Amino acid sequence: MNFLTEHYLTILIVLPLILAAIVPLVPEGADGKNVHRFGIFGAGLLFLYSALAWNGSVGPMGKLEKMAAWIPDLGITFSLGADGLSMTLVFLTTFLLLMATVASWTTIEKRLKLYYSMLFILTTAVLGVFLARDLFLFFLFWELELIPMYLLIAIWGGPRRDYAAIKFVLYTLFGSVFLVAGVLALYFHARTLGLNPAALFHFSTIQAAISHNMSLTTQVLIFIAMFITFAVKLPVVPLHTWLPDAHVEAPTPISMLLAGILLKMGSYGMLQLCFGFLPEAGQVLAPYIALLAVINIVYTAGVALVQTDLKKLIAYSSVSHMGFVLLGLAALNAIGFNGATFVMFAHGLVSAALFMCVGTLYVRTHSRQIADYGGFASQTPIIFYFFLFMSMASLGLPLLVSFASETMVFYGAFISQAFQQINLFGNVLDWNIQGVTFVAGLGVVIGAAYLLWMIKRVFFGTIQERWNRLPDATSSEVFVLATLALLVIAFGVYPQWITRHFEPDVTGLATRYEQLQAQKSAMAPMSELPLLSAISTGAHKE
Amino acid sequence: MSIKMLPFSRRSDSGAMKIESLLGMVVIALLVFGSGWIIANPGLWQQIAVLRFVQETNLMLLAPEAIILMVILVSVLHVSFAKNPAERQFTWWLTAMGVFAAFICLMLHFILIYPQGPDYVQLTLGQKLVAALRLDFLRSGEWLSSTVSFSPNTREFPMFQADLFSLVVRMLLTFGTFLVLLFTRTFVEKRSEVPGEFYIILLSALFGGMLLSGAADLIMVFVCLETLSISSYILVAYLRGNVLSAEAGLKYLLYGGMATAILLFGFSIVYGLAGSTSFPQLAFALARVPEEQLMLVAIMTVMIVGGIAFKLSAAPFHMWAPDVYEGAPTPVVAFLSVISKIAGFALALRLFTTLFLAIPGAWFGLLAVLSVLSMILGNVVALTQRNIKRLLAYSTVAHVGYLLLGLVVLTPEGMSSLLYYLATYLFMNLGAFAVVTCFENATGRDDIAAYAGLVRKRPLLALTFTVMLLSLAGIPITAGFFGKFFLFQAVAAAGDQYLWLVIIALLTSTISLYYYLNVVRLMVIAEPSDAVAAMPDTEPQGAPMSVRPAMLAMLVCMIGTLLLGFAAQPAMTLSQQAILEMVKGSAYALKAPEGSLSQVPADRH
Repeated sequence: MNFLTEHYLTILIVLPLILAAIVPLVPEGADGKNVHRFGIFGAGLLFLYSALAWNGSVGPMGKLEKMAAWIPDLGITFSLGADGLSMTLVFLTTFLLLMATVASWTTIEKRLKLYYSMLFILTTAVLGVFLARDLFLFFLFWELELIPMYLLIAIWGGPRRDYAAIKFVLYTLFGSVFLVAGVLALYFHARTLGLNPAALFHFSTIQAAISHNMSLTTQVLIFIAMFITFAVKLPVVPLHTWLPDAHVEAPTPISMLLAGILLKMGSYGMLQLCFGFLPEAGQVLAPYIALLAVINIVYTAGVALVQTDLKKLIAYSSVSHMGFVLLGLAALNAIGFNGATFVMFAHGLVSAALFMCVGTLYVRTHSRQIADYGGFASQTPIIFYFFLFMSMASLGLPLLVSFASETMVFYGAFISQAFQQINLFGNVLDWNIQGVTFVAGLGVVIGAAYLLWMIKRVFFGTIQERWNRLPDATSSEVFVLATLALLVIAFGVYPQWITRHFEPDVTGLATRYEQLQAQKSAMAPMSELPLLSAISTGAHKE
Repeated sequence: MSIKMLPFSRRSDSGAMKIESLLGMVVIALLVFGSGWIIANPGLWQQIAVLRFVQETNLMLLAPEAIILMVILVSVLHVSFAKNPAERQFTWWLTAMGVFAAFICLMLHFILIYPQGPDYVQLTLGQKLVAALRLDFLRSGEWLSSTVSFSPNTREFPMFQADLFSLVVRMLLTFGTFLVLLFTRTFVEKRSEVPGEFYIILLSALFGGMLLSGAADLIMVFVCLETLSISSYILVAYLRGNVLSAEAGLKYLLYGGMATAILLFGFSIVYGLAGSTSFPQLAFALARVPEEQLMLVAIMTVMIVGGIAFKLSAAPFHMWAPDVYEGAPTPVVAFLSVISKIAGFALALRLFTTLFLAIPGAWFGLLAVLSVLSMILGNVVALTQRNIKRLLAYSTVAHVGYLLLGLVVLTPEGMSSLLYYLATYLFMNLGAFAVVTCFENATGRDDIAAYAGLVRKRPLLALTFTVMLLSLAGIPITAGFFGKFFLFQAVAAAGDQYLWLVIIALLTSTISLYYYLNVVRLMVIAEPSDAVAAMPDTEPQGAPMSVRPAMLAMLVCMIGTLLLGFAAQPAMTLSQQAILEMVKGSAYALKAPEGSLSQVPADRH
């Protein structure tokens, strides 16, 4: 058991790579489905393995650490670690991978070996991002994710897959230029301080270096640089335009993973690196991030309202809901942070399920235009029930998982002390966070509007002649949707089942902000625009 | 020993050929094992004056070059007497094994001689050698007696520095040439009726490059550079029937001759200013140039930097590269873009850490401009290329831009990252060219569109090419990612004034992914092109000897590209040591007081 505790995380990262290497050797079998079986088996194995940590059977969570020297001259280590936040996302990743492989059973037909190889390499990259405790390693895994995802979209995607795939790669790569800049800036700061030279890239060294005499201006600049990287991934308006294209062209299982996991890389990075490492800068920038969050929520919800393409509508709805993560982060308190993390988890389940629903319709009709649909409720009742259920979950029906998580975000934002007001454009626009939260609430209303309207157009009304003999959901589709639906109910009724995992660690991240706010409220209220004053005066931290 | 045991006996018919072949093998074996034996028995030296000369001037340090030279001579003899093409093919075995023997010899030096201390690896081949070759001295017969002492009372400045740096670079050069030879064979023998000479000229070029990596004297630099260049001109134009090849050769010759003239002009100004040709003495003298001569120094700097930039094909001196790369035989392109670049950077590193370090002025600004232009131009123009060799030519220009960053900052960290990047570049670029060569052998095409759907017919070839291209683009977990990261962080660490260079490098490498990924996309995603569709489903069984070496080359490149990143620490340690030793040597020369310039103390390390 000691061996397992010590190497648990390393095995977790390496296992998908091994699976990726084995896949090409699997014989196709008589019915050509053997590769699918192996893929599902591998994903199931990975899921069960990750589930060992669920009840702490491999050692208490947060104590899973692995650190080995790698390139000591440059201070690069091979460091993995799992706090509750990471493990929550790891559970989500391995679970959704299993769901995606089951969903691939009917949707993916060509070049299966390459497909599963890429899928497993992608899993390694994503798990690596969540578990890395060394900035260099984090960046390595961050970049590693690009190529498998590119190929997954570009080979198995829809008609405009080339364009969508390369757009995804170029946007992400453009973003990671800023990540390199931020990482190197942090690294050089740690190096000039002479801290722990053999592990300069390690999170703990970097954190120590930041709390040790780093000017507020530098912090703000590094925060902005890394924020841009993660904002491309999240995505945040106006850097979001790659996402609808990628979603529309990607095959169903890949859309599930894209919405369910890959977007979480962005929000995880924001929480762990931006807000976690640079609290002073986070405090300065929180008002602006709150504004971005509201724009994200309301604008993309509005855009979703006018979509004629079903998958694009769901994609924009997915972006809109990621805005709640941003709002929760900007609240800068324990409830907001916990809410944001919970939204990540809930969004992972619900949006993946919605993309699965769209996929089931697409494989039957080969059309994504809402205008082509209508009256499907009578033809495909099972799909209709699940689609309706997931739409209700997405728009925040009580007792379902989105309701619980988004309520936490709203509550956190509403009671937030993050900022009293922002004066943009002189005194023309006075915002306070309660106002911001109120406007964000409009997003939920618009969300209800586009989802219900979509349900009406797709499932009610008169059905077109050509869809008269549509088959209903197959067993593999029912399996995926029913499992997701069960979890949506389970975590909605009893959120503590998952929140207990990440709550201590995420609250820990927030305490720093509460200390800072206590300091600040003891001083005179801030009158100026905090960002500009920080940059122009180059004020050092108190 | 039966001749039939030899791998080439199957091909040889005539008795003369067999004897020659044996002779060549014996010579190589003697050199390799002899050098080890002599090192192991130091007492033996004292018996024979010639050997003592070899020992006291540390001539053994040139044993790898001696092996190459012997192989060239034996091969020339062999080619001259070979009766038919089948016999000439034996030259390939001879040269490939010779290069590998030179590599092993360098490894032996690294393992046996180098640990004996830096003092031991100083090659004292200055005027001493000239004195030894004076006719009256030779005639007198003294050199046969054991009374003459060659041991130097005063250490002269060497023409050739056999330090760790040159050892590492020569290891890269020989190993790279060995890889090139592995995938050259089919290509040349298919296209040329005189394949034997091709290998010999390739070895002459390698010979020039090897000596260039340690050259510490302007005359030595020039002679080595010309050996390398002239051999390259011939290699480029080697396919006599091919118009493109001939055009490329002529272009290369004209541009190259021009660049050489400019470089030589620069050298002559240096000589005029300092009155010496030895790097340490030049550095010392140039550091004390009177102010009214600074203009001359500036002109000289521009000329030398320009000449070297041409050899490195840095923009805006890159114009020859795409045309030459397109027309030249593909293995030659591999040689030019890897081996000749490594030799060029070795020269540049030594030149800039000794000669130019002494010169006050903005030559690093000059280099920065070259670097930025190369990065932008190489990457942007590569976007529009339709020929794979032209694409790789522009990619080479771009990589030279990245590599020049290490010279711009000239910190030990930057230079050792440069050396590490050169090693990764060797594996990834040679791997890419190995695939291009194999593909050209199989289909006769070199346009990018022909690569469509390659993965369906040759999955391993496509996989290798994909890994190499992604490594060139700097995607993890390949060595190219680590190389770029180390290099860029070293540049950023050198000072805030270099940050803009890092930003340009990052942005242009973002652009580069587009064109590399385009090739990957074609190979993996697109439907097979007519060229690929016409390929047989399996490798032709008739030509195992030609396919296997190329496969071996690709395998080695693949292992190197995938593992060099994980073994970054030992590789970086080695390159740091190499750079530090070289820099220390030149730093000493700068600090030396005027009178003691000819007396280098033994404890200079």
